[in-house]
Amino acid sequence: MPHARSLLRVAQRLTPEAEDLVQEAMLLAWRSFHQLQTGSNARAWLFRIMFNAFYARGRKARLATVPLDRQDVAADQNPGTRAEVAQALGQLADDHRTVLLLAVVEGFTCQEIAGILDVPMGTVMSRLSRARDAMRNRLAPKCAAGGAS
Amino acid sequence: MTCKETLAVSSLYLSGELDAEQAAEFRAHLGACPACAGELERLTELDARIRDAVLGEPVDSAGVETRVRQAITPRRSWWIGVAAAIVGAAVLSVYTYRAAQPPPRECTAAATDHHREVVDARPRNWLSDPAAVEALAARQGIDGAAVSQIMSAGLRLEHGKICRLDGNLFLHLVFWRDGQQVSIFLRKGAEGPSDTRTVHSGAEDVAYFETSRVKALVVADAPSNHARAIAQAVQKTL
Repeated sequence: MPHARSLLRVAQRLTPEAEDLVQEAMLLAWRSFHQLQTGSNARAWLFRIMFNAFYARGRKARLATVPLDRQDVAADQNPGTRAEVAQALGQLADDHRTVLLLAVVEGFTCQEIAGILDVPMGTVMSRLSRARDAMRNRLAPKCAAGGAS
Repeated sequence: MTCKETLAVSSLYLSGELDAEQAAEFRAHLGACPACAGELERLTELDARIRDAVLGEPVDSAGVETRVRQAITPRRSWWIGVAAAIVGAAVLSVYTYRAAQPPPRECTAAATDHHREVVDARPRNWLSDPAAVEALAARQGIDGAAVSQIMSAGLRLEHGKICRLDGNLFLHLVFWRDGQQVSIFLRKGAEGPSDTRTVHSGAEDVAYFETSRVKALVVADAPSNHARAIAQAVQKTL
């Protein structure tokens, strides 16, 4: 089913009710599929539906971090790296983590993210910049802070 | 462009959102400023580290997908279920027979590419604008009108990019039809018109044909057997 895995990947970092949220989003998308315009970005449209559903739930269920499956960590060649990144992501503010995941992991542009989250593009860029700074500080010294003027 | 201005738009540069002139100015500054060049390199490394860590975690969406399918599928009477089982067994035997035939390597590669790029939705630099996709097609020697002709078969274009299948460059187009994503791989025709043939590869069906203008491979989820029907509809338009 298109994009279910991508939606779930992000939803798991929004709420412990991730599967319910993705199910709701996909059913909403199914019902309003006729509204999707030819040539429009269907993936961004699906994410927008999911975030609208998430906000409609009133963010009642926050999730600080997603625990890693121990078996998966053991099988990873760099278990420390993956666990560190997961922990650092979990410590970010929700809005910052969301923008970072959409941009860096899901590959959306800042303009697309602004549409998905219904916020100004400047807000997206600001959150993205702060999220990257926070991740870099938390993952130091492997990603040492830069010294550009 | 100053260091401050450069860093302010670094996110837009990384996501490919600067126009050609701005991107050239950005790169010119990096060439002259080791501090900003180093900063961008660290940002790129950080992004790669985050991406690898998150994409490396398994995500099992099978449960959600099953529940969604159940919710959108009308309930059936018991005798329809029996009939469906008989038809299913017949279809399964056909698939089993087909599975014994080695599929063309381009088809196997197309199914693999569809699964990785579309089903798993690995982030890639797709083009969503139909005009940009048509221009991309034209650069591959494919008549740009082919994209809109395919859409006339009832498919909605989602995006497209160039990929390589078994050593050959193809235009990989992703369409929506009946709530499902379908990949169509196109390249300039070389061998002349042929009928539509279908092979099974992994969880997908691949239907392929050639017209006087293009070679086309259509990849869709196997259980729906959409690939062949879509390929035949598309073949009529091309």
